[in-house]
Amino acid sequence: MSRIQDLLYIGRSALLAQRIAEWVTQHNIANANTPGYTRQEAVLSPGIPIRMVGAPDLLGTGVEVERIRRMRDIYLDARFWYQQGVFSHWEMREKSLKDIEEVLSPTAGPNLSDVLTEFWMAWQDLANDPENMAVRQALIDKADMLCREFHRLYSHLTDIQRMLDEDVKIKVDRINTIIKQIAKINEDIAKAGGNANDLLDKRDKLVDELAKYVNVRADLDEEEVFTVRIGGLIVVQGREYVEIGLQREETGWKLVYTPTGKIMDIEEGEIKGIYEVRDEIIPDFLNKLNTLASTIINEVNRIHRTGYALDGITTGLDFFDGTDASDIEVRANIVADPSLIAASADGSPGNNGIALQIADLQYKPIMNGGTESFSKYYNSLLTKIGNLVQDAEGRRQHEETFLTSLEDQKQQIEGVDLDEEMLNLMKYQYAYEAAVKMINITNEMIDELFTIIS
Amino acid sequence: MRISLHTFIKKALFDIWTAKERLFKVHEHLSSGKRLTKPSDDPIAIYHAENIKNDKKAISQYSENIADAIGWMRFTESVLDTLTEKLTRAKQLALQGSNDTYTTEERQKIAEEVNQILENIYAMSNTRYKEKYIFGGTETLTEAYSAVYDPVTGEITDVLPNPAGITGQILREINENEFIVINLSGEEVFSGPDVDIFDVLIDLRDSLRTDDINGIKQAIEDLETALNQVLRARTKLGGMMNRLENCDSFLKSKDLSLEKNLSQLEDADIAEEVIMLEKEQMLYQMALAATQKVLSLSLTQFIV
Repeated sequence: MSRIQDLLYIGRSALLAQRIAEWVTQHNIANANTPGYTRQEAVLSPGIPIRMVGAPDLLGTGVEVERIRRMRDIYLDARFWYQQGVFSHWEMREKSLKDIEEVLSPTAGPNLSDVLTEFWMAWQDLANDPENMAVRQALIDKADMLCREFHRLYSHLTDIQRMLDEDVKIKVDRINTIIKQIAKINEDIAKAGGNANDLLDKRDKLVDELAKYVNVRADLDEEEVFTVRIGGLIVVQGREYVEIGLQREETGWKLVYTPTGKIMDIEEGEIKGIYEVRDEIIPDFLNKLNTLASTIINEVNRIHRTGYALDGITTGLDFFDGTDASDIEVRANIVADPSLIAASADGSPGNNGIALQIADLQYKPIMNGGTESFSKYYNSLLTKIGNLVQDAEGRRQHEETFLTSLEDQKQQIEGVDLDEEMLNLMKYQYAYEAAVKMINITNEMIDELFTIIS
Repeated sequence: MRISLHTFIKKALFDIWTAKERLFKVHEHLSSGKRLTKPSDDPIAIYHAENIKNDKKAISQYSENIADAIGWMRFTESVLDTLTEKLTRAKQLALQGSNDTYTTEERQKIAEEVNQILENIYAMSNTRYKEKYIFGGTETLTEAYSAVYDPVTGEITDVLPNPAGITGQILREINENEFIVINLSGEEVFSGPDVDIFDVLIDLRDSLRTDDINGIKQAIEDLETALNQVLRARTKLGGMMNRLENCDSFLKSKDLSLEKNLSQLEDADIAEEVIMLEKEQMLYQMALAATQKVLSLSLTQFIV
């Protein structure tokens, strides 16, 4: 086999291979901005060599496209997915903590410690003028402001908690959708046979999203079946999948592995961030607020009960009703009749002993085991949330840098560089032109033979 | 190294955002004049700043309390001034009345004036400040003294203190846990501690009426004691007002030093922030310009 026209096969293989390579290059350029797209490359290799009469060694048979390679590093993928979870965890935590910070220390308007100080000052005003009904009314207004502020803090914190809880449900819905889609893609890939590169991209992109919510591991198992694990438990295996369930716990919804009915270990991802803020941080702040409110209620009432109303007879009345931040109120009968405020220690209208005693609670180290005044106790809550936010912000920035560097590494392999693709385009174009010329030359050679014959 | 378009754009955006975020922060500091806008800006500083703010509010309250106390005391002082005048006049009248050359008629006239003074001083003992009886102790809504009138002549025959007691102390808190009594009880001025001024005047009037020279002489002595008694009350009052004024200037200087601390904690250093603003502005512009320059470069421009 060494017919001259066989040279045309080499030319034909070259034309075909360059055209496919050109096709892949253009596909890359077209997808330069497609999220999740992985650069592809036509892997060219020489055709199977053959033995020919007249040639001492094997002769090449042109070029063929061995496969279309998807440029991906699976180890990098695994690290990236893990890091995505870590980053999302801290990002979620930071975001929610900042919400709490804004509630505890509003950018505009007074915070609880301001309102509290005004409340004690109103008792001083009453001490200056205990017979004056207008001053008594002013005290009730300030006390009411204090109650409103406690209610505002309580309801805003529980609102954040409730919204985070809703978020768990929404995210689990999304996780289940992704799980189903991945199983479906696995099925499609199996049906397609060969390297369905763009389907693989789609699948990896779904895992990218999954990694934001929970700690996920996705790889091929021993039998080369694509498997996705959440918290170490298999949720997708090839075309099989299990849905994540929800279980109501004391603090809110928790993710449940339906085959065993057990609560899943979520170590990273937004869900982890939500768990921490919803189950630990907010309950802690609510607890401290309630302690503050109940101590104020008890201390003020304890002193107030020993005093006398303006009539000099009525005594033993509480000033506040309620037991914690959610239900603290000025007693209704005092609101209706400010003369019932007990400013007097002995029943005489000009005595201000009780008013002064209550005003002096301002400085008493009553909170935190007798070490902090009420205002300082609240101010140290501000320090606490400030530290938490600062810490989360720092961690988030750190994890983000790490994530970005992994992303850069991934992009170095996966990403489309237009300059490179332009050069490839030229490379394949030149080769294509050369192949055309080659065919021309072969043609001329054949022509020459024909002239001799005719 | 391969730098894909995606990497490049992400990096460029990251740099631009970072520059913008810093610019925003400086802008925030400058426009509010504050370095501390939320707890996470400086968690420790916010604790101290909030505590100082509370302390400052308390100081302004104490200053108010002091102003109120001084108002009360000045008023009391003016009453005591008048009281001294009246008692001095009564003493003059008594001296005249004790003179042997005076006739019974003339003594009747003097007795008339003494009775007038008695009425005045009785009214003074029930002086009200901001609708409160200032000599009645904490029984501020009841008259400190009530007079017993002769049913025939309509003249005062006796003056009795409020049976509920007039010695209650009215307190003002003038600094943390520092209290001061702002009121003088009627028993420190009118009905004690040395003599009962009302009784002295009633006795003087009646002695004048009855030409009882010995009684008049006794009254002169008693009036001397009464004047001393009022003087002592005035001195006490002056001492208390002094203490209040000292405390007030102490609070003012404390407030000033707190203000300084607070400013150090939370105010932005304007000069520094302006320089930062210039710097961040430049960095931001550079990030934008560099991105624009580099992004516009591509092989596509050179391949026809």
